[in-house]
Amino acid sequence: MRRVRDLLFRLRALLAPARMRRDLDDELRFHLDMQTEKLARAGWSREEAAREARRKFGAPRRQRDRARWAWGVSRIADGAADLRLVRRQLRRNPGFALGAILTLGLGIGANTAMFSVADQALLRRPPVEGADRLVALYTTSRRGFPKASSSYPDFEDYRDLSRTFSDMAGYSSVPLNVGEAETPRLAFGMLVTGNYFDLLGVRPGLGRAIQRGDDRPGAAERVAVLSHAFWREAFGGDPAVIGRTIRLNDSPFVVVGVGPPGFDGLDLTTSVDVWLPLFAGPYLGPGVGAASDPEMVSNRGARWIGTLVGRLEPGVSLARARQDMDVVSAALAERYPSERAAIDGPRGITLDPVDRYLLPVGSEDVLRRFVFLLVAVVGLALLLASANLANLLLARATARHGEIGVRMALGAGAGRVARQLLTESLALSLLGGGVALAVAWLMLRGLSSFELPGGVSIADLGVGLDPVVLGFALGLAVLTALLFGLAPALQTSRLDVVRAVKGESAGHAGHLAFRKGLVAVQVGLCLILLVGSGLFLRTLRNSLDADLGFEPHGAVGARFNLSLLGYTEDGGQAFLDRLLAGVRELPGVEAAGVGSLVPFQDGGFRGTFAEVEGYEMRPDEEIRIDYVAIEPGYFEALGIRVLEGRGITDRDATGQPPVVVINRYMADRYWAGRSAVGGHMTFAGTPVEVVGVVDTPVWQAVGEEASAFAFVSQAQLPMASTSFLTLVARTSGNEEALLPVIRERFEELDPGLSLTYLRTMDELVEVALMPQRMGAALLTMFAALALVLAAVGVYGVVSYAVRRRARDIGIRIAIGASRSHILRSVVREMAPPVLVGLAAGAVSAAALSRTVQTFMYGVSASDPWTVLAIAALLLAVALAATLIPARAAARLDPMRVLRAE
Amino acid sequence: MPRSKPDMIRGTLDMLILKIVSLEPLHGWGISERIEAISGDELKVNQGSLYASLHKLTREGWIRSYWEVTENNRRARYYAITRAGEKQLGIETERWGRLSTAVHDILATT
Repeated sequence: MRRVRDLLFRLRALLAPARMRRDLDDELRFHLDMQTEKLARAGWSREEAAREARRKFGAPRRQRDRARWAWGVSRIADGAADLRLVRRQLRRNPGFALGAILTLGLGIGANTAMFSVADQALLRRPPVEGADRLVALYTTSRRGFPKASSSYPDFEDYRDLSRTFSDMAGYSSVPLNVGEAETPRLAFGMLVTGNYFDLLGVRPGLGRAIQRGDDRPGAAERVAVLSHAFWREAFGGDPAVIGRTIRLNDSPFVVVGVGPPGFDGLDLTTSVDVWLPLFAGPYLGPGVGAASDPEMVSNRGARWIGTLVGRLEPGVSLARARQDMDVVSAALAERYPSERAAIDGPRGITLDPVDRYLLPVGSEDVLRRFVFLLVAVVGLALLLASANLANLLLARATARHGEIGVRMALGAGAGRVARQLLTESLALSLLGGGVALAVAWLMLRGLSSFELPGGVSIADLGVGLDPVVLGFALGLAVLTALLFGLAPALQTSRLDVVRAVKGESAGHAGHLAFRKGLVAVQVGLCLILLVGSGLFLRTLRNSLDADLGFEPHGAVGARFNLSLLGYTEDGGQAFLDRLLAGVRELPGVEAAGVGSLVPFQDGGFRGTFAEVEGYEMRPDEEIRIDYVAIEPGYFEALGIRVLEGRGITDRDATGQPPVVVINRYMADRYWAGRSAVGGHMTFAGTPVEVVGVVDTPVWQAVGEEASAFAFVSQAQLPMASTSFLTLVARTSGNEEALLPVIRERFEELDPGLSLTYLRTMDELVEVALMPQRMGAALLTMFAALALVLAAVGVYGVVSYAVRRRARDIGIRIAIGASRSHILRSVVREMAPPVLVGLAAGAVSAAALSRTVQTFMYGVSASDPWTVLAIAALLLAVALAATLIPARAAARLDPMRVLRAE
Repeated sequence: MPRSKPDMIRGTLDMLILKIVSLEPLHGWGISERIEAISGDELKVNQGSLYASLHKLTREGWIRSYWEVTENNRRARYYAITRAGEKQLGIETERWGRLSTAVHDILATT
């Protein structure tokens, strides 16, 4: 009962402080008035009486405070006093405060930003039911391509023969040109089996989903389901869109539903705009490739379904499903030996869990490794920041022993002092948390212009400050505070007040050892970051200096797709002729051409098999070549050097003898010791003449392995006129200025045509080098920070050690030790932690080098020279940081030191 | 030799307040006047201690307070003893009795 009343009283005091204060004021005023009256009655004048009453009463404020003390709010009042003290302390020592807050802010902020990116890229689950029971299935093709598409018969067999999946769906992407939206636009379409939505457990937001029956083989219903985002963006979120007919690649489809918010398929990099029944391909024109093949239902060799997704039976593990599918693929290899054959053996089936978004095929590893690298870098930075903070707080606690001793001597309880210290570090960490927020926000903004490997644009990931990550980071800040605030706080309870006040802080040898340990950690981490930064910088320089086999500067590219708009072959050729003629007329344009592929552009490779006249193939050998269909002017526009013979010209038109131009790699390999020009080969079964040899341009990444490549005339290759094409133009003027003019040209020719991209070739190269650039930028930033922190750490410890031993040093100088001797002894003291740190750092860097080798070009990740040079640099910095306080020590005036005791 | 007024012995003020308000509810000023009057001005009540003490006793639940109009028409906070307070007063009085006897015995020793 008493306790309850006590609590209620305190609560009232806390919750209604204004009322309680007012009552107290009234009460005290009453008292004063009564006193005055009494004195007046005794014959004092009114004025004198009032003054005397007040004098007797004492300072009103003090009385009020004393009464309030009794309310039991003193603890909170103490808190406020703590905070006031903290503010004073931090103001008095702005360097320390700023250092600690910035260290925390940078460390935590960078980590928050990076973890948000990593979380979005690698850890996010697609919003489907029971994602952990879903498995993606692919048909393997040749070695190195384990995740290729499947044919419809493949899909049926996998579904029917498997005994570990309760159901299986399939989907395949198609490019779409959407009419009837607010503006014509390119969209990302997904052909899906009728059970796709059911299997994923995704319910439509509006109308209905694609359902069983929509995908009757050979005769798909012409229905479409829009993604929620695309519906909002292209149709203004109008619910009346249900039942409306829209034109996809110039063919009518009825919108029957809109997907739920947030669902855009299972793939990280592609967000679906429109879902269509699996067999809608034939309505979408030749631009959708194999999906429009009328034979696709029965043709086992037409592998066009990009991804199959199955739901595991309850209790079945992924490993068992893999065994199951191995049995299925063995059975199929036996039943269809020729259709299931690939270059290096029968096709298999690859299984991948879908508990996270599916990463772009072929880039999974490099993407994962790169994100890991980023997280590791900021993680190291956080460790370094923590070490630095610990060092700062410890140094400060030592410096404040005197002050704390005085406060304890004056009667402050050890608990009170400890709480004061904790409040101080808590305030620091919260301020640091605030800075971290700003840092994270700025970093995310900076990062949003970057792309991760595999074409994963950070902006497209929709990375925001994740509240969970943010909470985690703030928690981290508070934890740091408690941890490092507690260490000095605990010491205070063991503090010898008398010695502290006298300025002696003996008995902290363990303290110094700990700080030396921190220095070793800092030096080691710093070495790792510096080595990483050095490697990335050298890679970047090597990449920029590398011969790309073409000249990006001065060239622009525009990618488009005629087949989506139903252009026939003749119509398409006429369009290209007019486009090229128009662009070549533009002022400043030196050359213009068109190709199915340009360097540093995603996808678009086409491959075929060749036989070379005069080249003896081994029995099991095949010559697999990639090829690009081009229009005359392509080599000139891209600046690809023609080494021998000639390029593709107007002469190589339809009906003329078919010719190819090959790259140097192919000439060296298959015409070794002979001249390739004038040679003959078969290309996709057709005999052709080699008329020229060109330099090998880099197609995807600097440092890629060269392969055999052929360039054929677009006009002579009927099947090549479809799909995506890229216009390239070279100007002697400003490339940026050329971009809008080229867009106008396209609009004049066909206002309904949308461009996939229009950018300078320099930009394309830049995007391709993004991981290296990003790695170099981040690592250099953090390495520079690390170097400064390590130097500060060494300096701090040395000055502390010197100050602690000032008396010893003074005595030694007094009895004749030479200054250089003193200097040497200080340096010798710091050598072990620095050297141990360097050695540990070098070993760790070597161990970590394997992870970054993928991103290196022209330099080995375990390059000993980089490590040695950086170790030497660090050693020099550490020595400099040691020498400054050491020289001060050597210059000590022994008399003054000894007298100060 | 200057006549020194004894300072209130620590803790005794609480006891005296309890005693005074046990006679009748009274405001702070009245309490301090009553103590000084009864002690023949031997005891001086420090005003600051008085109110701190009153609030502490309220918090303990030994006295309760309420606002009332005085005889000369002023609003004042009155304090009255509670049942718990009466019990406490009994304990304190008894303890004080023992203490003062002990002190007296020591001082009277010859």
